[in-house]
Amino acid sequence: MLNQLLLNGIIAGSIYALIAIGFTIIYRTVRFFHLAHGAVYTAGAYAAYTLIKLLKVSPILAVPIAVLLSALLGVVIDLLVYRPLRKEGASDLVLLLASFGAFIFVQNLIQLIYGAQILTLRSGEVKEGHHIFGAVITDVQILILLVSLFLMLVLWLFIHKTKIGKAMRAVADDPLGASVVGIDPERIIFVAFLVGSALAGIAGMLISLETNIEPTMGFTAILKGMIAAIIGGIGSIPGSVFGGFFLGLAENLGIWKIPSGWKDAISFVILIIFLLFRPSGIWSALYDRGGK
Amino acid sequence: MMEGKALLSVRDLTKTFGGLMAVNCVSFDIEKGTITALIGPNGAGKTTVINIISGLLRATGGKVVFKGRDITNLPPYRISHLGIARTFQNIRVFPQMTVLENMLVATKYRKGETLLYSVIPDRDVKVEDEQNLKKALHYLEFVGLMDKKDEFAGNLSHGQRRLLELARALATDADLLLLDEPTAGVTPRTRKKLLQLFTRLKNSGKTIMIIEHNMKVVRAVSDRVIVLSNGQKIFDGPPDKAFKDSRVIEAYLGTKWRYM
Repeated sequence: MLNQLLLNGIIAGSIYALIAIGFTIIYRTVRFFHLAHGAVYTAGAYAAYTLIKLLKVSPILAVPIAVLLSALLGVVIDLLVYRPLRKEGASDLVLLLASFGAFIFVQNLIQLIYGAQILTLRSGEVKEGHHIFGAVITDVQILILLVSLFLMLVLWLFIHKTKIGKAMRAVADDPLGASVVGIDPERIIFVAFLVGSALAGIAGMLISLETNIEPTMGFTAILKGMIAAIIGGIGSIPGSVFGGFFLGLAENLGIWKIPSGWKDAISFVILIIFLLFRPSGIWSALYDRGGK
Repeated sequence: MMEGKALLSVRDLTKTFGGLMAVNCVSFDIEKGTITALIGPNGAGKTTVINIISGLLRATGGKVVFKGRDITNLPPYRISHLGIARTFQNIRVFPQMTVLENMLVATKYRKGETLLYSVIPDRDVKVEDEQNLKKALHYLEFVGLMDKKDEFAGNLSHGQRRLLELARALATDADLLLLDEPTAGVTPRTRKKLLQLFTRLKNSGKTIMIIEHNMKVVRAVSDRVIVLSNGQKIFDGPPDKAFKDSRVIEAYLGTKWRYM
């Protein structure tokens, strides 16, 4: 039982981590909470559903298209909603409200097109999973875990080894300093929305293989992603990974002793505890790398 | 001073904040290969002038011409690309990046910076990478931070961060360096080192404009002094004359000192 809960926690955690990383990459460059990230996650799932289930596109082709569409949705939200506001010098609060508006808009648009009912991407009968250490893991769960870990590795390489990744970290550290050494902040914001939204889309797609999809699925997702980002240490990418797995494990181990209906409550209690006692997150305590 | 083509020409530069005239019709030219000190009492508008030249603030009026090109109100990154670099009074290095990464991020790429070529291996990008690494190491050697290259910039001492910020400005290939109080808060030893570096840079053809409060520093390195007071230029000339000029003395010390 414990092993099963641990496994469930790791799998839920990898999804939370993917959402949190995308959210954090964007947060680091624009410095406000991009709530519409949750809608991009939903859009990723619906894009996969549309392509695979409705248009019968082969998954090998459908997956990259769906990722691209999610990435573009994020960029379009930035260009149409946030960018004009940034130019006007809008405050973080205005941008936060705008992001909430964008979230509702995209969510309702999806509802308008596909209806409010639950849809299923999974096809065929449910296969029995593999048994390891007394726990059961399905093929889809193995896929979720492998894809998430692979993406985290790729992202780490991108951020640390490429010139544009370094520029993204420079903007995160000091936007003004970055602009005077020749980095165009708008270009970096564009890349951040592109990469961050692609990750959200992939997370949405992965979850659609595991459970049903519905237009409002993005709300819980962005809440969990945000909680993961905050308990990891807001603005820190390794912190988001850590926060995601921490949250997934805490939720799933928590329901070992208390009814599973309390799962969401557990996350919020953890959030409140962190906000009260350790607002800078776990990561800063484990690994302090100079300054801030 | 006005003959020949100046590297930087500032014409009737004006900046108002609400009703306050922070900079009022300031004009000057900067010749290539010189060190100009911009001095004046607190609130004279020195940093505002540098902020406008480097694109961080929009001018209310007037013009900034660099290498014969109007750069007034261009965004900071464009101005950086054209060859103007700056440092800040309250140092702005990237604390969570290593010293070497701070340098690399400031070097220019033509191709490697695009999203596509930062993921796809490419021979030109590799050549650029090598050149930029060489340049970054060269300037770290120049300021004497080679042994700190893998340290996080946030862990450096105040003086070391000043040196890094200067090296980073050089890594952008700038011809004109705008240095806002580069010796503030550093030890006498680091100050001496910085002054030597400024002179070496000048001798290698770089042009420097420096905001400075320490008059010893001004005397030691500058070819020319521009004095601002209440947003207006009140003196422009060689340093030895500046400290004898009655308007300058008045601006710094108040009128009653004039008669002493």
